[in-house]
Amino acid sequence: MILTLIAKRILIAIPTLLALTLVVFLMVKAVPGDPAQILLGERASADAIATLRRDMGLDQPLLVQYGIFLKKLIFEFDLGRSIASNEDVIDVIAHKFPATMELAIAGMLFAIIIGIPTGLFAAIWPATIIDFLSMTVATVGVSMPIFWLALVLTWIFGLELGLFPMSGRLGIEFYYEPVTGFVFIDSLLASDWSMFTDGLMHIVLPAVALGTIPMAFLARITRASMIEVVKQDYIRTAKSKGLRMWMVYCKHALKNAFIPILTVLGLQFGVLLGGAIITETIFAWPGIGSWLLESVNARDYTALEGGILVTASAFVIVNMAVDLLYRVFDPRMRLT
Amino acid sequence: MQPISRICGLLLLAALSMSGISAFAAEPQKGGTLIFGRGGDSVGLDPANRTDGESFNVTDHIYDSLVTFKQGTTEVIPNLATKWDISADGKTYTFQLVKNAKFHDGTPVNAEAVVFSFKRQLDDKHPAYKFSGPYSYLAAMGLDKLIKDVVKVDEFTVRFDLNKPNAPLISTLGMQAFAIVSPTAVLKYKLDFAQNPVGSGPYKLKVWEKKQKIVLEANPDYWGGTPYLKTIIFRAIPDNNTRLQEMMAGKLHVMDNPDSNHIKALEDKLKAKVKFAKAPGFNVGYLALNQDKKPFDNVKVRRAIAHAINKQAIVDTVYNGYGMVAKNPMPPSIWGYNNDIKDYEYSPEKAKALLKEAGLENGFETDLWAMPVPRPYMPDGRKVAEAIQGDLAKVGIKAKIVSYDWGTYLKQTSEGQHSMALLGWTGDIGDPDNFLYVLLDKDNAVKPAQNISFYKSDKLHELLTKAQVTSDVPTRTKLYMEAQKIIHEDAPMVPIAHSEVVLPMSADVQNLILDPTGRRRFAEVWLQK
Repeated sequence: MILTLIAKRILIAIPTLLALTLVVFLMVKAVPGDPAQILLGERASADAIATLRRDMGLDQPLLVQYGIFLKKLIFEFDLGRSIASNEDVIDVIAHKFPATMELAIAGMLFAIIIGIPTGLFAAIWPATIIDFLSMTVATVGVSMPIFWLALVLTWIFGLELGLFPMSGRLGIEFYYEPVTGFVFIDSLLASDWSMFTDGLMHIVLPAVALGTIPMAFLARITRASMIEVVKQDYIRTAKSKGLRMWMVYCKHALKNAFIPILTVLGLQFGVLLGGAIITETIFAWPGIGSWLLESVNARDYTALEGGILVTASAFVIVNMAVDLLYRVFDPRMRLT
Repeated sequence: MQPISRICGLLLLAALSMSGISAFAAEPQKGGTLIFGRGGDSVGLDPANRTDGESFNVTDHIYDSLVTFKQGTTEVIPNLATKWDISADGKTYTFQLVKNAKFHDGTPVNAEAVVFSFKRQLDDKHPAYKFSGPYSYLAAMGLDKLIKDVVKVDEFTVRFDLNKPNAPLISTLGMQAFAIVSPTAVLKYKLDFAQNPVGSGPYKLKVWEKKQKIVLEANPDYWGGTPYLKTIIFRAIPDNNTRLQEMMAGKLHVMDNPDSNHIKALEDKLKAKVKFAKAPGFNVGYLALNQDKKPFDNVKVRRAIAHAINKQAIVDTVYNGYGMVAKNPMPPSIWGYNNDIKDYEYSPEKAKALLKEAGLENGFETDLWAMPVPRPYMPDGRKVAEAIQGDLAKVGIKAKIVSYDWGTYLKQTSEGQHSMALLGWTGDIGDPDNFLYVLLDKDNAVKPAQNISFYKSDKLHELLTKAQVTSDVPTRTKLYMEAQKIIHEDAPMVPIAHSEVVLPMSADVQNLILDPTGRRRFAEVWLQK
């Protein structure tokens, strides 16, 4: 049952992903500027530029270029080589996407652990000092510019208190040889506890910086959604039945309030998977966001195509997962 | 008593600050790890197809070239070539190679390796040609047209046959792009050689974690003797403030590209634990005046513009004081710089008078192109353009600021779409030819042009081409001095500034001398324990 559902979902996703390749391809081509010129820089001669354009296949009609791109992608799982660095784009993604994913997961964990209880408390005691304080935290969290928050975090917790490292994914004493690309998984596989701990220390500040906005969103949506639910009759019944308060709120109410929370969670997580340019830059995190930005600046078509395709696919997949999870929380949806 | 103690204090301070700058006269010590925090990672470690400084900063340690530059200067010194002979007609260069050099993979550095290193760039039928490229510097320095052939004479002798004499060639060969690579490794790694560099230099690549760090380890078998530092770590920390904080926390030995306000912050926080190296940049930022467009064909108008621009104000505000006003199209750190030239002083009155003489007392309307990206020679093109726009408005010239993305900007200016355009140049080698000929000779005013002033002076052309085929430095100096005079008179461009480089480092770093070409070289650096 659930397997056919998943299979169905995946089949629906295929045309979406195909359309995505076309949009990404055309979008990247629409970016002004000639990559051959940019690659060769201030010193290039016209001959050199023309030759390079030919070598890169840029003199072919757009449709032919797209055909070649699609053929290679589907049959050879080949996204080409980066124009700027001559690296295999699939390799680059295999290195960078895990870093982005680790940071996104850590950021979401922070958002969930802080955001949902904050919203919950605010909803249990609405219009009290707890509600006021919680929502102040949420408002400040959502409106604080991320670069400022990041700098304050590194300054206080990194430089002044020396509690956490300020940049990078691991300390300089570690030479990380990726197997899966996930520092935490790889260090566990190698039973390297010092690397694991070091990775943990390094991810704290960027995760907090990245997770603050989703945290604030979650707190607000949890509060709003819970306040709706706790007004309903079955909650009153549960309370009068003498159930303990945490059972009423955490089991009965929260489960029903969870659909909108899940929607926000999924969307936010999808956004984080696209890479966080500012956070990655400030914390020197080797993720996909700053790479995409560099690729735009370098008119690195192949890198951009690959990068956008992967992040967009991640978004589609996360949404698919959220769709499936809806059914866990709301049995009515299982029928559709 | 008080004044004396104050003087003593000042003397002590002066002594302290001097000791901070100059190296201690102590014996160099071996070993240790130096951590260098910089703004970006290297793109690739095959120097032949790179144009970015962050790649060259690393390859400089991994590879040797035939010749190199003495630390802190542009003086050519032997490297893999122990000596060289230039034929009387200047068209044949013969190099004798060191005999005990080995690449990091154990293969010998010999004439074949040198021929391979050049042929893979020059000859599109060479088996390794397709593994790298585009060979930007080969084309930019004109070596594709200059070199007829590179020939192995014997095991340790190589001959370069040229199509015409070219005096700057010997400096050009010291550039990273023409470093000698291991043929075995190139053929083994093919397209991935840039990730697996193998040279014969004092350091070899140990680890490269992309966008994180590059770790270089001393090459114990280096033919020139083991270097002092055991390990050099290049950390990529793109955010300027994060890099500053890492430096403040003592996590870096050397910090690249500080903002101007960082210097004071570092002094306040680290006090005697930090010192600074300072050097004039090897570059020029300028305003090109397109002579193909009216009224810039009139020398009076060009001189009027030179008088109208307040360069000092631009240096103070946009360059944050990290620069010096330019009066010639090349920096003063190059030999042949003409210091006798008196710059057009800032004077709106003189500008107005000249415009009147040109029949433009009511001013005119024009366009002013602003660079969209920061470059070493111009940290903020937009701000410079706005300052110039204001200055020109004072003498009645209405300039509209135009900007495009970087690729389009370079293309359109090379085709002469602009009236006035900001641009600049960073020197590759310590030769005046690299600035004057490239930027202002009429040979380079052919579209797509590098001489985007479209300045075509036969007199200048004669001097510059004569200097190219003369190898005697005093004669060449004279020719370049004269050339700068002609350029000053004709005012095809307004040189604006040469930027300055400041490098903060912890007090234990010794013998770090800034390179005029902007390379960060640590091969002769050691750490005081």
